Amino acid sequence: MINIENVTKVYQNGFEALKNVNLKIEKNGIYILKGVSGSGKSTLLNLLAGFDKPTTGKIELLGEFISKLPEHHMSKFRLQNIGFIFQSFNLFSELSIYENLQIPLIPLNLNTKLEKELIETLIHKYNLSDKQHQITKKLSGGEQQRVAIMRALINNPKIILADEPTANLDFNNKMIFLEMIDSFKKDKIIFISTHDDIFNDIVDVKIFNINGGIIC
Amino acid sequence: MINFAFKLLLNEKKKNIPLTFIFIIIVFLISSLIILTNSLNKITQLQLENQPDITIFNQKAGRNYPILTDIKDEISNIYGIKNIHERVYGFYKPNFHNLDMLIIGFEPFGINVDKNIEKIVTDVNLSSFLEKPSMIISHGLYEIFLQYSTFGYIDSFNFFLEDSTKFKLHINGIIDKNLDIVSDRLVLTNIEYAKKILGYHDSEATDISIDVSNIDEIDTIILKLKDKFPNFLIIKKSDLKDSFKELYSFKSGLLFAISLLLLSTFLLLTIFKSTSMDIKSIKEIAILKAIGWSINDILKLKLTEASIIAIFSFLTGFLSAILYLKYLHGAFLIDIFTNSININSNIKIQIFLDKFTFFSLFFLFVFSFILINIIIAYKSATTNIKEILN
Repeated sequence: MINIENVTKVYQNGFEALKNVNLKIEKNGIYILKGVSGSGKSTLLNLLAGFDKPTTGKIELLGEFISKLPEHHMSKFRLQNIGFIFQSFNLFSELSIYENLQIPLIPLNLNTKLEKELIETLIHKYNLSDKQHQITKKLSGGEQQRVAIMRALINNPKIILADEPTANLDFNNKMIFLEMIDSFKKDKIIFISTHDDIFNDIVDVKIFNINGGIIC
Repeated sequence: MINFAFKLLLNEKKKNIPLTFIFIIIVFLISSLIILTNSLNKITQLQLENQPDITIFNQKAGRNYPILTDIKDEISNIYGIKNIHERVYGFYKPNFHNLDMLIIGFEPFGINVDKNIEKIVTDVNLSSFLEKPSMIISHGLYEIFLQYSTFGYIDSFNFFLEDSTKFKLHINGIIDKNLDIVSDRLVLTNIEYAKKILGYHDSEATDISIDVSNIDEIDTIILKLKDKFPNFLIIKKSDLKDSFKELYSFKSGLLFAISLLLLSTFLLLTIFKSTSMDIKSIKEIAILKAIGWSINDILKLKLTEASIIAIFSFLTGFLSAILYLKYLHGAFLIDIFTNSININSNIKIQIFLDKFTFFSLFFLFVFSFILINIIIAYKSATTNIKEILN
């Protein structure tokens, strides 16, 4: 389902962030990419999300070679198949939880009833029903993280990518995050880039270590 | 999409409200100027339409002198002439209110070649003109007289003649505000009294006006007139129209320069607003891309946002301009036109709005605003998002 073959990424300044990376993921579950700052984990995540293209090599997601996809096809692919969770959440801070969850659905032009059903089911599942019309900048860090996860899940993508998702959370909220991802690991590939050791304790987690642009 | 665009705009109130306000002001000013120019030009052209086909002046060295009315007999011998009239008009300056009265003589019981005067005197009780020397005055002049009512100017006015004697004209009627386009300092009186006040002899007039039977023969008739009266200035209606057009094109040129200045300000502000797209807006675009919005979706959103601002501002500015011209009669702006030509400064402006003007202004403002915003949004939407989001 994810196949990375001989991927190299060299930035314009000549820095080689990834060196001939090969990685294959064939079943759903949680996958951790661990490495120190500057090791190349964010670069790899950006390539998987299609935010950037590799200098050489191929990236195949769900049978689609995304490294070759033109921008407009990549957007569609991303909308249908990839959910992204950011370290700093990247929510629309002046909009409510409900409105933030509407955003990924807008390009799909769903009918209002279906849209409402999808959003309310998710909000209810993650216990934020009482705050659904509250603007997100007034939520706690943990709650904002939950909204970010819900936004990544709203289109029911097959792949969830998360970049340092626990970096801004306290211990309790980290545990809530782990519970959340554990609840949907059977249906999705969850690929997390992190240097947080908290993921070491989860069972059934595959950990890749990256260092100097090479996966060990 | 529209709901989302509205929400984003409302979230950026501090940025969008001043921009919308400036947009409205500039549309209002330019629309007012252009509609006013068009309307006054149209009104003047309509007024000139009522003028005689040919006018003859006794002009020497660029100055007008009284013309002898006995040439009418000679003119009447020219084939194709429908009617001939002598006209008497001119300015009278009393020693108060820095006033210039426009005195126009008319035939109370004759045919007046000037259709505007015909319209004005239709509703006046002309028989009273026989009882005592009388006049019909414009509404603007009547209001000035009211200010000087302590001097007895409420129902009559004393004119000083050439020999310093007084000549009293009673106010017989006040011209309807809607009709007094010629001047709001207008006095209409019997042609005999007009001659007296303006210092003409009985056999003299300001000009001789002629209507022709067949409009296609005007040029031939003018040639004959020039042959008979080589020293007179002979003007046809179309020349008069052209000279007013020239005057308006000068005024319009001035307004065009002002409009251009305002428009440049508008474009600069729009470009400035768009190019100074703050990090928050750029980040918003990057988040949208990251969660799966295509560049087209983002451009649709930005198009919707820009259209909401542009259409709302344009319609508000444009309608404000119409209301301003309709109910405030273009106060202040109209002075640009009326200070140098003798057009009533209290006239009710009839708004002549053609589709071309409306759509030109619409495209000028709305289209340029949207276009600039889309170009800038496209630039942001095609930028690599990974640096912005990390």
